[in-house]
Amino acid sequence: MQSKTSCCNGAVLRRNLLRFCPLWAVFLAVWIVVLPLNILSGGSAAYKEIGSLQTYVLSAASVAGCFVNMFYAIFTVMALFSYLYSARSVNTLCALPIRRGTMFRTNLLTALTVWLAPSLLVTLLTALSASVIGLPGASLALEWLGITGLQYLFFLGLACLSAALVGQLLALPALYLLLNFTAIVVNYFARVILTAFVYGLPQDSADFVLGRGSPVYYICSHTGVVGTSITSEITHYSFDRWGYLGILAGIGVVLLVCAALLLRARRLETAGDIIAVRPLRPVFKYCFTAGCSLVLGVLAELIVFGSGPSAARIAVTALCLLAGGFIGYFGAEMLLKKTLHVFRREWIGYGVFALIVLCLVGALRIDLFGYERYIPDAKDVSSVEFSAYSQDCMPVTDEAHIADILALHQGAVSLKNEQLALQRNAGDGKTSASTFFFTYHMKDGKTVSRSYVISVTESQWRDPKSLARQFSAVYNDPELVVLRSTPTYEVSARQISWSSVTSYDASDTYSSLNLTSDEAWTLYTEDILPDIRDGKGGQADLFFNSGTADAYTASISIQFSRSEESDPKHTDDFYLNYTPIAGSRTEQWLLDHGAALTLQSDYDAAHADSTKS
Amino acid sequence: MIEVRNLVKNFDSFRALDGLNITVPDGAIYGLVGPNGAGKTTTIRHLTGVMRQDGGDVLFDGQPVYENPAVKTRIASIPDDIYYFPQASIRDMMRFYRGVYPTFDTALYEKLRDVFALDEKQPMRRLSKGMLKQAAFWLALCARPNWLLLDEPVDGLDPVMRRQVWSLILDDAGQNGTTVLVSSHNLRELEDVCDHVGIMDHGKMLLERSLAELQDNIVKVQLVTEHALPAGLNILHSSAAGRVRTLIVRGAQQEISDRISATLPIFFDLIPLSLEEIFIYELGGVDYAVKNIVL
Repeated sequence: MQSKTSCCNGAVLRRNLLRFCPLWAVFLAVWIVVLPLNILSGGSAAYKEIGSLQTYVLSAASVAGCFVNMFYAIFTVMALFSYLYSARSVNTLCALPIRRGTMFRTNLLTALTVWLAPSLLVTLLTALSASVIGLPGASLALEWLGITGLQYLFFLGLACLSAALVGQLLALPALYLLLNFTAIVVNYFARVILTAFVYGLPQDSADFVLGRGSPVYYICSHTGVVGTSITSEITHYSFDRWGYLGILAGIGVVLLVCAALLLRARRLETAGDIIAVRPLRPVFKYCFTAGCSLVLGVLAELIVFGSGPSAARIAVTALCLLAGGFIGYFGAEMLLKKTLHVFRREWIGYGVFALIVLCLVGALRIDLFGYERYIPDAKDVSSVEFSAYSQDCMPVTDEAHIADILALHQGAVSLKNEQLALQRNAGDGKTSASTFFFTYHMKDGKTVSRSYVISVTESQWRDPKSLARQFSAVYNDPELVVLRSTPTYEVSARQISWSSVTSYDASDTYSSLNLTSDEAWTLYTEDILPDIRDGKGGQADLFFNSGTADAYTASISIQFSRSEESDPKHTDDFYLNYTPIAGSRTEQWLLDHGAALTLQSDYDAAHADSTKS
Repeated sequence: MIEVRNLVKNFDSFRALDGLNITVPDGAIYGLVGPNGAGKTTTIRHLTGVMRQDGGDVLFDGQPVYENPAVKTRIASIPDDIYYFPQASIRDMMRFYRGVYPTFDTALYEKLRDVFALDEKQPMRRLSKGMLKQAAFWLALCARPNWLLLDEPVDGLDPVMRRQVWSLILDDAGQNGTTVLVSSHNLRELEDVCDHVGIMDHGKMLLERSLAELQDNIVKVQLVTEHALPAGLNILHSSAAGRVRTLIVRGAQQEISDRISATLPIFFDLIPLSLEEIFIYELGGVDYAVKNIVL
C-alpha cells in the first residue's frame, strides 16, 4: 500500500503554521519597526540621500539581522521539534503514519515558510516606504532579503543540528548558544592563559584567530558595508561579505542534511536525555570538561589570584584548570546520567584529563615547542616593525637596524628569568618598565610577532650596557623615530584631519593653537621630520622620566585619517604627539606662529620654588 | 495478523525485551498482561513503530511496522499518557487526524458525538483524564484501523464509560474485524473482553493462549481427604485451612478429576480459575513476588 505522506505532510504543515503564528508575527513586527516604520518616521530628514538609507538598511541586515535570525531560528526550531523531547508527545506523534524524513522536511518547510513569508512582506514594505520618502529602495530591500536569508539558513542549520543532538528542550538553546560562541570564547581564554605562560607571546588580544567560527561575533565586527565615492558628496554603499555569508549558508545546508540523518536514526527513547546521540556523549563530556577547565579555571585564577606574574602562578593556574575540569567533568556526568551520585565511579576519565592538562602546562613551562627560544634568522627577515605601543608604524627594512632589533630580541630572550623576576617586583617604585612589540615580516611571507615587558631598576638604568638602555638606544635611533612618526599609508595635507599645539606656562596657564591642515603639513614635513633626523626631537621617554632637559611643556598633535576600505564608517587613524625642544626648527616655527613656549626645566624650577615657599 | 518474533530491546545495559514472541490472530482481542516492568509498554511502542528494535521483527500482515506509513495508516493506538497539541480542541485534533489518516471516517465522528457527549470545541487541556481518554477513543475509532493498540485504555474512566468504551471496541471488532491488542492490569475486565491472552515477564512471553485454553489447562481443587494425594499431579500451589486443602493444579480438568476421585476423598470440588488467579499462579512459577498470596 502506498503511503499518503511523501515529501511533506500537509496536515502537519497546516498545524505548524497555525500553532506557531505568534512567533512569526513577532518576527514580522520587529522587522516592520526596524525597517519601514523607521524609514517613514525618520523620513527625508534622516535619510537625505540614498547613501544614508543604504548604510542603515544594510547595517540593519548585517548586524540586527544576525541577532534577529539567530534567535528566530532557535525559537522556530524549538517550537517545531519540541515533540522530540517528551515521551508523551513522541509516543503519539511518532506513531502516526508519517516517516521521520517526511516529518523533518515538513518542519523544515515550515521553518522556511515562517521566515520567507514575513520577510517578503518586509521587503515590499521597505521598498514602498523608501519610495514614499523619495528614494529608490527596491534593490536595497532585496539586498536585505538576501543577506538575512543567508544568515537564517546558517542559523537554521545550526539550530536543527542542535535539535538532533539533544534530548531535552532546554538543552537545545544551551547547545545552540555554545556552538555559536565556543570559537570566540575558547580563543579569548586560550589567549589569556597562553599570554600568562608563554614568554614573548604578543599581549595584543584584538586578533581572534577563531573569530570566523563565531558568526555573530565576526559579522558584528566586520559589517561588510562598504562605501564607494560617486562624487565628492555622494557615496554609494554596498555589502561586500556575500562570500562569507554564502559559505555560512552552505554550512547551514550541510548541517541541515546532518540533522536530517541524525533524526532519521534517532532512538526516540532518548527523550529527556541531555545528549540524544549515544556515541556523542563522551565527546560532549570531554568537550564540556575542557571548556569548563579553560573558562572556569582562567576566571577563578583572575578573580582569586589576579593577573600579575608570580613565582607560583604556574602551579596556581594548573590547580585552577584542574578544578575547572573537575566541575566540568562531574557536571557533565551528572547531566548525562541524571543523578548526583557520580563521584564513586568515573575517576579514571578525570584522571586522564588531569594528566593531559598537567602535561600541557608542563610543555608550556619548559617551552617544549621552542616558541620562546625562537629568534628569526637575519637573512630570512624582510622587514620588522618595532614599537613600544600597539600602534602600527612603518617597518624597518635596512639590515643594520634589523640586526640591532634582533640583538634586542636575543637579549630579551636570554634574560627571561631576570626580566620575569623584575616584573614580579613591579609596583615597588624602584623599577620602571615598558612593553615592546616586534613584528617580523619574513621573506617567505610569514609573520612572526613577539612582545616583551622590559623592566629595569634604577641601579641597572645607570649601566649603559643594561638591556633597558639598549632598548632605549635602539628605539630612539633617529631613523627609527622617523619611521614611527610616519603613518603606514601614504600621506599628504588631505589626510590631516585635525591638528593643534597645546602648552602651559609656569603658572599653569593653558593655551592652545589650532592649525590648518596646510600649516600642520608644513610643520610636519619641513620642521618636525628634519628635527627628528637631526636628533632634535621625538625621543621617547621610556624609563624613569629620562627625557631631554631642553624639552618644552608644549605638545603638537597631528591626526592623520584615512577611511578603511573594508568598513567606511571606520577610519584608519594615526596620531602624532610631538614635544618640541629648544634650538630646533620646530621651536622656531612655533614661535613664528605665536605659540607661547615654556621650557620643562623652567616649569619644574618654578614649581619647586612654589613648593618650598 | 500481528507477529512479533524474537524482539530484543536494550536501554543502555538494561535488556527490556529479551527475545519476545507474540502472535495475535486477525480479529482477536488480545490481552497483554504482565507485572510492572515486564515490558508491555515497550512492546506496544514497538508495535506502534515508535521504537526501533535492537533485534527481531515486528510484523503486521508480514510487513515491518517501523518507518512504514503504509502499515501505520492501518494502526490506531491509544498510549497510556495521551498527548494533544496544547491549544487544540477535539475538533482541531480531529482535523489533524483526518489529514494524517486517509481512512478517517468523518461520518463516524459525527455519529459518536452523542456517545461521548464531550464539548468538541473546548480546549483539550481543560478536559479531565477520563474525558481525554474518551476523546482518544473517539478519534482512534474514527481512524477506522485494522489494528487497535491500547495501553491501559480504560484507566481513568468511570464504570459507565468503561462499559460504553468496551462495548464500542467489541462492536468495532465484531463488525469490522478489527484486531485489538490491549495491555492492562485490570485482569477481571480483560477476562470479560479478551479471547486471547499473553502473559509477559522480564521481557519474555511466559504464556500465550486463547482464554479458553488457558482456563482449561489450570484448575483450583478444594478437597478434604485422609489419603495421600495421587502422584504425578502438577501442583502449582497448595494451602490448607483446617481440614480443607486448596490446590492449584496444571492440567486438563477431566484428568485431574479422575485421578483425585480414585483416592476416595471425603469431599472434593473443581473450581475454574479467574484470569487474575491464572496470572498470579503462572507468575508464581517464575518467582513473582505474590506467589505466596493465599486465595
